[in-house]
Amino acid sequence: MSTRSTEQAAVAIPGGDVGGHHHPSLQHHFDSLAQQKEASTFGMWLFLVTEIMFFGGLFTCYVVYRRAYSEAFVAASHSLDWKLGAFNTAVLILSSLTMALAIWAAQVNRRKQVVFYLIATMFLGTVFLGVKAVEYADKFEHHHVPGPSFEWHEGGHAEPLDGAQSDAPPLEDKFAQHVQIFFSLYFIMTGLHAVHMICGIGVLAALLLPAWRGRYNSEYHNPLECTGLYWHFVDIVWIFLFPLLYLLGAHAT
Amino acid sequence: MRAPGLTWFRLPLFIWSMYATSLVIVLGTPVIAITLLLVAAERLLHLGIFDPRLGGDPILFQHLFWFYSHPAVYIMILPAMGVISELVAAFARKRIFGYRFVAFASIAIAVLGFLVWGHHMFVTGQSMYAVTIFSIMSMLVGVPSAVKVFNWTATLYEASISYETPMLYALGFIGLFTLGGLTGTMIATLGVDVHLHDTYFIVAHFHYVMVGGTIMAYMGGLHYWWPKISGRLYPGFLSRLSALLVFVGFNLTFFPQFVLGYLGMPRRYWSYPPEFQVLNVLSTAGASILGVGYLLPLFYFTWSIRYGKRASENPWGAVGLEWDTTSPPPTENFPVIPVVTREPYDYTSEEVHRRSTQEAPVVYQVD
Amino acid sequence: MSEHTTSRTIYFVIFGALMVLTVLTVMAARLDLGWANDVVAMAIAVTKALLVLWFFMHLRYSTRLTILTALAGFFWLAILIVLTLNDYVTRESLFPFPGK
Repeated sequence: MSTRSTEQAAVAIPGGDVGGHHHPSLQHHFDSLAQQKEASTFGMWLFLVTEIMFFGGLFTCYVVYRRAYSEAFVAASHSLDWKLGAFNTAVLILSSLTMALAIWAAQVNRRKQVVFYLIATMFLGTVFLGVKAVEYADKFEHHHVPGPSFEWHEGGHAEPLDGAQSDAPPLEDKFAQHVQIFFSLYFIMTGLHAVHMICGIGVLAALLLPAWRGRYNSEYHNPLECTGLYWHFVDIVWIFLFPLLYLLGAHAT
Repeated sequence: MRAPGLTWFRLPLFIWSMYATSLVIVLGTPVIAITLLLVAAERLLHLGIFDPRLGGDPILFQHLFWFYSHPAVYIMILPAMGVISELVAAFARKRIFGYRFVAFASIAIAVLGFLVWGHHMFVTGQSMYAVTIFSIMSMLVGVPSAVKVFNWTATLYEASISYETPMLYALGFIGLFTLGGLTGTMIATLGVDVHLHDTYFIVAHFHYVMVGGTIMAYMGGLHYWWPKISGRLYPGFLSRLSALLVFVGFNLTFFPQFVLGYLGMPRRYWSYPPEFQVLNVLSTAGASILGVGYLLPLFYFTWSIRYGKRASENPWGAVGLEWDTTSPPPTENFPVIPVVTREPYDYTSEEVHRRSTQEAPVVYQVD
Repeated sequence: MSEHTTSRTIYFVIFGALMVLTVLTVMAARLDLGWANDVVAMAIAVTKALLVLWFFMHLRYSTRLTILTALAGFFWLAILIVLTLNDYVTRESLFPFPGK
């Protein structure tokens, strides 16, 4: 065996006993609960960075088309119900409050309040989705869903996408086409946002049982923290979606 | 988690390049994901985002597509560059010249790589101002890569180089990646690209960096770490022959394509005029040789798993944490977590010097 | 554990601020300020986002690495939007936007 220039002895890590090597929530590859929490928060933020870029692609499309088709976008936005949008914004902000309070409750070891605030957050999220369902149904009735059935009251139909009409002169009724692009973005952006809400509610549901059993307390509540970060991020996305989609045409007559 | 004592600037440069790569992956991949989602929605749900017949903009699609797809090539080259740093240090038996410059150059490539995507769209219809900016930024992104090539070359200066198979691949990389990178700067020049876009010059360029670069580094790394991973040695003569075949075959395949592109042969055409025939045939011949060069390792690596001589802990006499444990390593890599006290690539230490002069590395199978 | 616990009062105050800003953004949208409408709307949205980030998402108590990560995410989105817009904003009539 050749000699080595690295020492072979295991080294005790200072601060490792804070929270206890034998703390049931400490994973073996971490030295302390504090380090574990920091790693878990950082990791969650890395995921949120990917979410920023994911939604960001959609916002880029929005910015580009908004510049090019500003009149159509104003008209299309005007047809959305800004009161429902504003109500949903308030609901989501309130749900962010209840989410933050769920974490607070864990920090002060109030087990039942953790569960209460988690349920409250889920409830508010569901209210949000219910309003969105109402809005989508309304779009469907007014033929504002992009695709073959799309109609815009100020003009005719947009050209269908499939190849059957490829010989027909393209770009008929441009205004209607520009409005359709607004609605395409509307459905994709709010639809993707809604999918994120559904997943968030699912994750919250998964936290209920452990929370009821007292798993989350002042020493350990990383899953709550990570879920909170996710939930607040989805809230931030809506904070931008609301003015961009609903308030463009608010001053139009 | 990192071993105790393993500070940032004691990390092997391969790890630095992997960190830089993960930066690119995290930031770039979601954009291609949403772009593909939009295209899928367009096709399946008839939503019409990029279709010009419906007022959509195909150039917007290209902006979103290339925002990821250019950084994607850096995802491919950064780990390769990291491997080269390991190989050059090990087979020049010398620390990498300008360690910090190489480390920061990796980060610089990752960051700057996000600012150049428009050079894939020079002729699609962007504004003159935008293409100029992208052209200038594309020149800039070549600088950190050049810094790395200079540092590897400086490492080789007055070093005691041994021409083992991994080193052959590393030397091949340094030359061929440089050619690929220089031709990249050529086509980053806006006026030149108007002529060369969508010709075989582009194909030759990216094969020089991808095959002459990334794949050679991959082969070099495979031959370097094979004894560590499998615990077996492979035949020295055959492996060096393969490296030579790969080098010759690769150049014969792709150098004619530079000429073809310059002469105007377009990409993605299945037929070509007779004046391009000779160069095309040369390229195909080269590909055959290249294929043999790639097939041989398949055979001798498979052979080595069963019949290869067992590898010691450190068959190359290299400096690095992986060489301080058995081949292959045990579960969790080390019997006891090591404490790192030495600088990376510390070939000057007396103990390493003694080890290298007394115990000649037993590398190859005695054929 | 020496973890910072935000008080409930602060959470409620931030919630109130967010609601006020929501009302403000609706009111501002109903005025015709021309190009300033967009600026005001985005300024309010950014302020709301910063409040959520700093207080609800606990960036206030996070390490520099975490704060840097969050900032980097938004910065990279800015790169995407700015460099893409850089093309569209500087177009002349030679390459007009399709559909116009």
